[in-house]
Amino acid sequence: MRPLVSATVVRPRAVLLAVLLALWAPAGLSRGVYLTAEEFLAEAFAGVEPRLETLWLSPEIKQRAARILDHPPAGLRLRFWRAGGRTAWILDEIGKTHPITIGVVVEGGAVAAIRVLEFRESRGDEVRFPFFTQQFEGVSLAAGDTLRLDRDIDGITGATLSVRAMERVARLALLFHAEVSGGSEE
Amino acid sequence: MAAKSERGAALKRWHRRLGVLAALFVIVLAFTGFALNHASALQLDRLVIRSPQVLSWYGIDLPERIDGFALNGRWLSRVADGLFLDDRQVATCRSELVGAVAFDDQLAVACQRELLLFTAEGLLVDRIDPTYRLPVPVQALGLAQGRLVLRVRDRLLRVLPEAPEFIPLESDAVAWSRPEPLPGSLVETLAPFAAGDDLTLERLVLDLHSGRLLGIRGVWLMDAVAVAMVVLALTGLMAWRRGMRGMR
Repeated sequence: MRPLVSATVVRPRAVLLAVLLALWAPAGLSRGVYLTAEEFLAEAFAGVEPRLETLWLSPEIKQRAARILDHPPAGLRLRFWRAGGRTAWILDEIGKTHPITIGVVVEGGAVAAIRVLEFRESRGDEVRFPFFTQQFEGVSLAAGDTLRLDRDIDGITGATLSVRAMERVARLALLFHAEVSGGSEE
Repeated sequence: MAAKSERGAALKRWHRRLGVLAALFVIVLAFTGFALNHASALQLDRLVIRSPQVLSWYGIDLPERIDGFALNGRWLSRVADGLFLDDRQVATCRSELVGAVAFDDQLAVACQRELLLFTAEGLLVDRIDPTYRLPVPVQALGLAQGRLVLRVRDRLLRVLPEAPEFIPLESDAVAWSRPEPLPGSLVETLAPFAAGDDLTLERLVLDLHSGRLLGIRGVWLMDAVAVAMVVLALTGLMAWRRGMRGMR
């Protein structure tokens, strides 16, 4: 597994300062738009113009999505972008009380990238940092119908609900990708 | 000896009086502390307070008038970030509601930065925002020959929601949806939602625990209760020590 921290020297004073800063951080500082949809799509498709398509949510797919989310997905249809075998999804999921807008790029049945576009919770925005999001690269749905990821994602203390929201959205994007790819990549 | 005995009796008397005075507060502190320790398990952070009485304790004034759009005998309105079809929340909308119309067995709702489509029963079909090419800010929503029309930056755009596409339109024959005041009974039902979702039962219990529900005086009162508990502990220990000595 990829190490989360590459440096081997631990500096207690720096760690203490980071902890104190994290504790001191005023509520609301986490909120913000970190990536626009245009920026996310440009990054996802690297110069290739993707096609905007629609996925109608059949009762079966809604039911499977509800198993992932623990609540039914909003809407009867949703839109996504596709270029070649790569799809990109922008989905909202509630962390604690407010929706987090998350972009997921899927290719070959695995997550190619996951990004936080907009964070509206007062805390837990650590999920937008690469040390966390890079864990998702190459993750797929596990074999069978468990709708779980085939690899464990390390959590972040103090951001548990945001981490769960990210995991749920990654699973959802993988499910939707399999659906629009005819299930051939599951 | 008699003086010592008198002091002991006075100590017990004051211990009892203080105990009675603090009892109610100690019970409140214990119960609220227990609830706060298990706030997540009890889902106190997810139970939103809607009681007008409790909201008034927090100085939250509820609106006496709410505007909405009439749709075939029903009302579509936005209160805080919630979109309501009559008294049922059907979706959220994070910008100002500007129009709502019924068309082709569907309902269309326009907020400044979102266009939402619903089935006639109020089931969300689709949400179109600038991510999906919606030009903003939307100023109005109407119908021209049964088709959806938006006014954006004073330009008229015909909406093809499936694509979605927005085609410039040269027409002044648009029936724009216009806001009207909701009936009083519906205002009464929806007004508590104007406070948003931030005031939860966890917040109320926390403010009861700290005394903040009664303002700064409540905090001082709870400080006094904390001091009383310390005094009770000390006087109780002293009385116990005296009792132990008496037994020797």
